[in-house]
Amino acid sequence: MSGSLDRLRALAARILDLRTLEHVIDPLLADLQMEFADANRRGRVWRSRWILLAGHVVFLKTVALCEAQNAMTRFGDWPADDMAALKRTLRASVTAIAVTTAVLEIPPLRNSSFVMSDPKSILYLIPQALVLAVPMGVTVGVFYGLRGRIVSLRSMGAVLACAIFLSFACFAMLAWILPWANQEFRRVVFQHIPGGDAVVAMKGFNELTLGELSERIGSYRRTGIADWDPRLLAYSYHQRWALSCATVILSVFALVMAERMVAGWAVGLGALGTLLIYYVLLWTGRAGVMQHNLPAFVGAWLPNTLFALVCVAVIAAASRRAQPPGVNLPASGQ
Amino acid sequence: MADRRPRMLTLSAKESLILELLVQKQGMYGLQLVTASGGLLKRGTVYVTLGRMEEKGYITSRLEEPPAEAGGLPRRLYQPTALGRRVLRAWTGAVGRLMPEFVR
Repeated sequence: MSGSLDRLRALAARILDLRTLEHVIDPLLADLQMEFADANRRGRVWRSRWILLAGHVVFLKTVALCEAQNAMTRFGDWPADDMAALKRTLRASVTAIAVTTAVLEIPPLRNSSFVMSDPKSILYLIPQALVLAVPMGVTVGVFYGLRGRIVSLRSMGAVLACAIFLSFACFAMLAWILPWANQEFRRVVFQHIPGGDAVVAMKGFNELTLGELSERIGSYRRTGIADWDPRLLAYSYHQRWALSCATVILSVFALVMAERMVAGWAVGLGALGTLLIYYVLLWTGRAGVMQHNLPAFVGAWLPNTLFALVCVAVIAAASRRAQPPGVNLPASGQ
Repeated sequence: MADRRPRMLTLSAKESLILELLVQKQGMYGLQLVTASGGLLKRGTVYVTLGRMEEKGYITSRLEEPPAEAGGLPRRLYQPTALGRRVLRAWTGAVGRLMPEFVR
C-alpha cells in the first residue's frame, strides 16, 4: 500500500503546487491509507482491494479538479489587456461563424421549396455550413481581435488551444456527422418522390463516412472497380483530413499576420484575402487531382501546406530581424 | 493596480453542509465528513472543497500523527473557525428569512 501511495503522491507532486499537495492530496491519501489498513485488519481482503481501486479513481478525480481550479485561477490572473483581446477575438469568431453559417445556408434553402414543409431539414444543412464557417470565422476573429498587437505567448496559447479543439470538432463533423446529416437531408428530399427510397439507399460520396470512404478506396485497389471516380473518392478522403486541420493552420497564419495590421481596412482586406486565397488553392488542388496532374493527397493538402510554408517563412524572417546585430571586435595587435 | 474591493464572503451548499457537520462534531477527518453527510459529499470533491474553505478562512486544520505501528502519512483533522461559524449563522439566518421552507 505504501508503495502505491508513494507513487500517487509523486505523480501529484509533479503536477500540483506544494500547498495543494499538502492540503488536498495528502489528507486524501492519509484517509485512504487508514481505510485500507482498517479493512485489512478486519480480514476483509476484497474490501481492501476495492478501497484501493476506488481510491485511485478518487485520486485522479481530485487531481483533475485541482488542476482545473488552478487553470481557472491562472486565467483570472491574466492582464486586462490580454483578456480584452481574447474576448474580442472570441466574440468576433463566434459572430463570423454564425453569419457565415447563415449565409451558406441560403443557397440550398432558396432552391428547396420542400424545406418549408419540413423545417427539420434546415438542421441537416447546418453541418455542411459549419465545416467551412468554423475555419473562416476563426480566421476573421483572430485578424480582428488581435490586430496590431504584439501577441503574448499566453494569448497565442489560448487561441491555439481553441483552434485545436475546433479542429477536432470539425474532424468529427467531417468524418461522421456531416455524412449522416447529408443522408438525412436526402431522405427528406426524396421521401415524396416515387422511387425515392431507392435513390436514398444509394449513398453519394458526400454521404459516406470516413471509414466507408476508406473501405471503398481499398475495395477499388483490390478489384479495380469503383462506384465513383476513384480520384474523387481519394480526394474526398484526404480533403476531410486536410479541412479538419484548416482551422489550426489558418489561425496560426492569422496570428502571424494580424500583428502586422493596424488599420481596419487592412484587417478586413487581410482576412478576406486569406480566405479567398485558401478557397482558390482548395479548388486548384481539386482541379489538379481531377485532371490527373496531382496525387489526391497532394491536391487535398495543397492549401494547408502553402499556408504553413508562408507562416514558417514569415516567422523565420521576423526572428532574423529580432536578433541583435553581431559585435565586431577589433583585430588583436592593432 | 491592486483590487481594493472588499472580498465577498460566499458559502456554497457543500461548504454550508461541511460547516454544519464540523460545528456539530467539533473536528472531523475528510473521510468522516463523507460518511456523516449520508452521500451528499463525495470523496472525489470533499478534499478540494476543504482546501478551498481553508483558504477562505472558514475552517482550520491540524495534522495528527498516525499510530507509530501504522506509519504512513499524518491525517488532517478539520475544525470550524470563528469566521466560519459566523458565516454559517449569517447564511442560515438569511436563508431562513428568504426561504423558511428550506430551513430544517
